[in-house]
Amino acid sequence: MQAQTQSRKLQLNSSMARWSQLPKDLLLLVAQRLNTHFDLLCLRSVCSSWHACVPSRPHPLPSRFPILPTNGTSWGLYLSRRTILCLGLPESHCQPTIGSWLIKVEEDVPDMAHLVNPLSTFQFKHLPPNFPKTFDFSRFRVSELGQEYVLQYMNHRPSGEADEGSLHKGKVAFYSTSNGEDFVMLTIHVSGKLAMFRHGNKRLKTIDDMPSCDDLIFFNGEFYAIDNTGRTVVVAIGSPPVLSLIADSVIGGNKKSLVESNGELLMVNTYFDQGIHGIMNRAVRFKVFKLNQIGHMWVEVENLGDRILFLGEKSTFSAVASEFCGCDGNCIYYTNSFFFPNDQEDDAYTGIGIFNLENGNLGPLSSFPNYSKVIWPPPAWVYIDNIGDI
Amino acid sequence: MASSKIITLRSSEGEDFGLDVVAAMELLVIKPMIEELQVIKPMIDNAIPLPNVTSKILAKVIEYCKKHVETPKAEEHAVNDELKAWDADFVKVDQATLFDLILAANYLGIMSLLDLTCQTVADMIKEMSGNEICEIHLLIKERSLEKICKIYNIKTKLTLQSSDGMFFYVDVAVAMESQTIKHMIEDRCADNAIPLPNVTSKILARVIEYCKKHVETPKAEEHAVNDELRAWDADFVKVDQATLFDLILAANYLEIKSLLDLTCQTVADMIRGKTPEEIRKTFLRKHDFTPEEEEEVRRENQWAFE
Repeated sequence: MQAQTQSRKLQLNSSMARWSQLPKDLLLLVAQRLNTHFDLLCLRSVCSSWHACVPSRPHPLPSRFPILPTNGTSWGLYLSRRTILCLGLPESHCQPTIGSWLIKVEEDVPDMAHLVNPLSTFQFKHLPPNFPKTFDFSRFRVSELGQEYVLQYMNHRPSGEADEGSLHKGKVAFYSTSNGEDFVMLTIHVSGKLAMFRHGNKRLKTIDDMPSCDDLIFFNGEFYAIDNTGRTVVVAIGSPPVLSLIADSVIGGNKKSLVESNGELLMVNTYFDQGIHGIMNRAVRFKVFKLNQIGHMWVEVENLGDRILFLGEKSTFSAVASEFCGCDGNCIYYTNSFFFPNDQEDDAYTGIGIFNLENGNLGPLSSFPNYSKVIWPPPAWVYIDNIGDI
Repeated sequence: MASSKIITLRSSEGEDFGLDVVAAMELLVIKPMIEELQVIKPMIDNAIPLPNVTSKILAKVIEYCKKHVETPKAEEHAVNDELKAWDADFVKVDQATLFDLILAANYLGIMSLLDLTCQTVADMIKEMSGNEICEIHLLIKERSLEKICKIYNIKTKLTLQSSDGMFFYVDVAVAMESQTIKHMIEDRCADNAIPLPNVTSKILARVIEYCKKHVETPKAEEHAVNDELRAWDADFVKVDQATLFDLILAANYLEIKSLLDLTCQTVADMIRGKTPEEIRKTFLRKHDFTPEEEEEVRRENQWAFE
């Protein structure tokens, strides 16, 4: 009996050992199908031969790189990239009471990162006292949910002009080739028009055919833009760029957002309630649509099922509710510059609300502990030193 | 009645061809129709539609029937020899037409024409180069002629030998899913059993199962068919990691692109979102990093947050 189990163990061991000998070109075929930085990092961390075969970064673009201004003034802009991640425990340690943690990281200098609120630009400056000094990603399951690109001023911010802070407040959609040699950036200009910047350009070029643009997204290899009526186009990059209509306008609603969910492109229509003086826009309800490409129209989606949509200030993304303990799907996290009455200044949850598609209820994130703890504070398992065996 | 009745046959393109009743009886499929017609009020004016036969082929078929009806099956060899020579000329057509004639002869029930055309193909294959053999087998597969070819002993199968000495008898069209084997056929190395020293019988059996399914399923426009095939593929790769590993190597060695894509995608899906430790548990034993490598891996994975 012992001999049998012994030989079976040997068999298992030898068959398992073979994977580390997988020929390099075949391992690369597998690696090609893993396209996020963290998946590739994970592959590299498995064994010696895989570490040697798999390239380290999908693209060498730094987290920040300069973009020139449009009108030749002395100040410059740079683009900073942040990654939205869902961190979880390995399966062996999963329990019904343990949920994943949603974070957004920005890597300033190599090996030094910032934690940013996934929905806003609020940086978590005061990390909890026993937060690990070095955070080991290899202990966790890491899924990349999206990337966020933000235009910021390089050094000196010109003073005096009322509008200059909002010149490039708009969303940015970005694409670069895997070797970083070429890139394209699309943004919403202060005039509401689309503007494009390509590698090698000297200035941003505005695209006139799409005024009052509400949102942009890079989805399925193409740039999509939507205006405040819901009219949606695909922007084909070229000189000049060509816009093709993908969907006609919808009726009603104030602000349109584009978000990817489960491989599909969705549109969220935000309905505002004009405040007392008509200045502060408060979101009162949301409708979700999916694209009917053949009919060129947005079709309403009544139920998101297990999915949750996140409409951040500078990016949108989605996740599966079952990742998070105590959360149901079919809801939307959104940002609203209208402060909820019980918001604290500079709180982790400031300006973030959550909307339930099923019953139409909404409220500040701070009122929903199951949903707020998805973002902050860090869950208990982050602090535990030794998860599992090595 | 002495008057020769004319039967009208209509091709798939809607063209009408007239054929003498007697000649038309060569077409076994028509025979019962004609016999019925003689009982019922003549519906001779109505054409008999043959939706599976084009005008070009129907014309040839009629030519054949007429000739064979006209020529009496005589005792004298001379007459039969003359007919044989005529037949030999009749089948001097391009391959595609020859195969269409086989299909038509089968559909219309003209046994002597079926015999003639199939024998012609069987004889042709003996003389062919490897490339031509590949083309012929693709045509056979395209027109679903495997059963007929079997009856006429047209070689549609070849033998593969696994590393552990087992022989597998497979359809040529199925074997040609592997570019490696296709090249061997083209180089005429496939006349005897093809040895595959890198593939065990267990894996070869699975690979053959995969190729068979993919050859049998037409790549249709309808999503339904493709969805079914995708579901079958998903089931196919539900195997232990050792078999998966062997399938990847076999797909690579035999150059079966769709199987290589499928297996690599499966591994990628198994890896995505897991920790390195979980991946090791599934696929390997322990990591074998040198201390320097371990340090490098640690650095890559550890970030400091400020």
